[in-house]
Amino acid sequence: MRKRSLGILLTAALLAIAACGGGGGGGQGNAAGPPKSGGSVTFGLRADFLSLDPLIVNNDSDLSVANGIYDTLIARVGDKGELGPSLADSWQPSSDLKTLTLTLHQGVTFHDGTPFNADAVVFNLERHMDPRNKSMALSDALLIDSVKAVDDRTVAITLKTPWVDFPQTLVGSIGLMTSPTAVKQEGADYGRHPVGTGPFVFKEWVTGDHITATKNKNYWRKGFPYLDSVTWRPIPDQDAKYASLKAGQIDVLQVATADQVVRAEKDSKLKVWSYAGNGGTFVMMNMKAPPFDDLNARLAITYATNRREIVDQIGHDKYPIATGPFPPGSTWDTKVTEPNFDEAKARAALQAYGKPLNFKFNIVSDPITRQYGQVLQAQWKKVGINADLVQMDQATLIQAAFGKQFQLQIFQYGDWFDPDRVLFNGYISKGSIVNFTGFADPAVDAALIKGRTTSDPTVRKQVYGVVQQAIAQEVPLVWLSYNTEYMISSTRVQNLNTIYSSITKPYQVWASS
Amino acid sequence: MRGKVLHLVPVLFVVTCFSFLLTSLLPGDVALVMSGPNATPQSIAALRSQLQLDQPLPVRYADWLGRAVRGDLGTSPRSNVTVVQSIKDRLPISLELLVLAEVIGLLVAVPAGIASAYRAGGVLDQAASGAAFGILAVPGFVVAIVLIYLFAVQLDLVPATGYTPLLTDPLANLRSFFLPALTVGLGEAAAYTRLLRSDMIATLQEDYIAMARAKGLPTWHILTRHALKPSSFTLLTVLGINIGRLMGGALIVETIFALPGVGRLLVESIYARDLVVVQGVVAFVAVAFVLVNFGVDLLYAVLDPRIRHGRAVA
Repeated sequence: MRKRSLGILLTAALLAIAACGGGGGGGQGNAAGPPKSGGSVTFGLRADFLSLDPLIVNNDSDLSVANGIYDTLIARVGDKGELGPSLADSWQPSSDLKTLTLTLHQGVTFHDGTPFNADAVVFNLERHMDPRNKSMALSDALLIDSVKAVDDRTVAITLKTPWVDFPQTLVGSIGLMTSPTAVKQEGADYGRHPVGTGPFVFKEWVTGDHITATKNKNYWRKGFPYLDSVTWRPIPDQDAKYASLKAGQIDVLQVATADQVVRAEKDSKLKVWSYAGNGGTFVMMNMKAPPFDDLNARLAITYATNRREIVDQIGHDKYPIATGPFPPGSTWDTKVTEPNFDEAKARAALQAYGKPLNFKFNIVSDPITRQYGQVLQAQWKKVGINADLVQMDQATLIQAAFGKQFQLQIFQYGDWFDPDRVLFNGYISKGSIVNFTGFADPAVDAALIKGRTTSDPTVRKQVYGVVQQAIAQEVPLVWLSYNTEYMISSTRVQNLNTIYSSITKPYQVWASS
Repeated sequence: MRGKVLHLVPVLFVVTCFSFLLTSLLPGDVALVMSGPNATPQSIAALRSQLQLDQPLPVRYADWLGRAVRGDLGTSPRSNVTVVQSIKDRLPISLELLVLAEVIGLLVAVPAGIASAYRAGGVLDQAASGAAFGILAVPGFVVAIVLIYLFAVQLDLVPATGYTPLLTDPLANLRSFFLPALTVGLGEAAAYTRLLRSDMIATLQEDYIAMARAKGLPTWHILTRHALKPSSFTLLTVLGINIGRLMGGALIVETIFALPGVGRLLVESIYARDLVVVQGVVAFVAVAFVLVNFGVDLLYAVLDPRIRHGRAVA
């Protein structure tokens, strides 16, 4: 449950992370021999599908289906989910980082026979850029100034301002390539009749129950896909979803809770797959309003928080402890640790604050987030901090965050790949609607802008070090745990390794009989 | 009759007015939530004006009502599908669940209620009462999970979740409805048994029952022909209320069993603050509720001649 609700939270509000990610990880063993063709697999997803039009597609459920029927221009590959080729064989940023030149894979056709070429890319990107189409990825599309077909297999995308992280957006919904012919033909009805270049061809959609797609025999990735057909089914209730996996109605349970992972690990008929992303769960404090406009109040909270206890009690040790924006081992980690659990220091900070520390603590009213709230409340109480738990639904919590109408609340960053995504809008002092804490520091502003507009990794690591240092000193938020994404499958499902941002790529999945 | 129909007009007006107002009171900025992860201040403002959120509430209501009476409940800005289409897609599923659940409810409750009343305090009555209270005391979502575990996971008789359209495969369709209909139906059966039992006990005290007994009519004849009909008013009233309620789908049961009915549409739309859909569905359910109960009112007249002929016992 926690993954589900906090996951949406983050998706819905914090950052534009449609499908980015990083970190390490990978699934459990793949000892089932060489891949076998044939068969079918049913994925049990979290949320119902709205539309398969990339203009609307935007959560992990929609994107999982979309990644079966479409291909993106750029994909995430490997254990760490780095950016890799897909419909674009390669991409080259200009030296000023304002133009990105894509070289497209040749000989690709859409399911309806329309050739995939530079014109198709221009058509798709411009479709997102037109505000009348109300793309859910409009803010990404608005970064683009123009898209030009240089020749049949080369596309030049010019940005309004330099942005090193732009290729990452092409992994998300804006990078899903639709057949221009089908879009023009179907008009408003396109979302229910999707046509892509992907490994599976859309077959049927029974509203609210399932979507089925069959093998694309002319798929451009030779030898793929293995499966004859794939079905995606939304099952919103976690317990019913687990029971459906046990009873064989679904083969893969996407977005599993820690409780379910613990249960599945003891079950010989089930397999657990994991991916350690870069996102995390934290509590954030409003630095623009009392009591957390005072550093001592924030320090008291940080020192009074026992992360180990939280990870053990609520996460069953399935998520690692977090001490900053970057997990240990991340390319960007400069080994800056934020103030950790220390009750004596918490009391000292409280004394320096000089007043009783009472505030409202906003949480989402699902069972697991409530546990977070209660455990934290009890930990803080031990040193004399009084948190008043306020339960609300997600929509209300998000509004509180945007309107800065909160004192302290629980939140989550989703998976991300480049630090610019997670840091820039969260900490830049002006022009961001998602700098919820009100953090402002001219040195950090300069570092964030430098990090966005340079491609030199050494310089970038250094400037993001500056940001980490400042965050550790000012503690606008207290990190609790890093996300690990879990899926559970029946033992016959093989090679479900890539589950970045809880999105599956069914082209490489196969089933043993 | 005509008077009753005319009565409906102000009732429906008040009902739609309240459903519109209540949904407008939901906390959370609709435009903000719906704008999704990539919101910009511009896109939020654009959505706000598209949804007319910048207009005063009475203006929005008048505009909505004007279109609603012509059968246009608007289009979801989230999915670009019209609300009428969404309801059309999902209503058959909620209706099938409703029919099957009520059939199960009545099939269990009528015999159990009659038998309990016939020997009130007897072994059968006590067993039925115990079972009924037990079921009423356990929340529906617990019953649902227990039934899934028993029938789908352990016995593997029916699917745990999901839905097959009736026309695709009638048998698979019934199998997919078995557990949800049983979950709702058991709850209804428990309540109906209790209601029928108490009304029936009262009826069985009536003189005409004693008269029938004295005439030597067989017991089953007395119970089913003489006592059942006059004892079923409360049952009918509650049945009407339940049918009206289930027209809007069984919110929790549909969510647990992943049945794509009206209830799940409503739940999802509330979480996503898809106000256009929420208002449309709530208004539809409210109107359906009023109409079903109007139908039940008319049925009273069929069951009780006193209501048919004049106002003496109004």
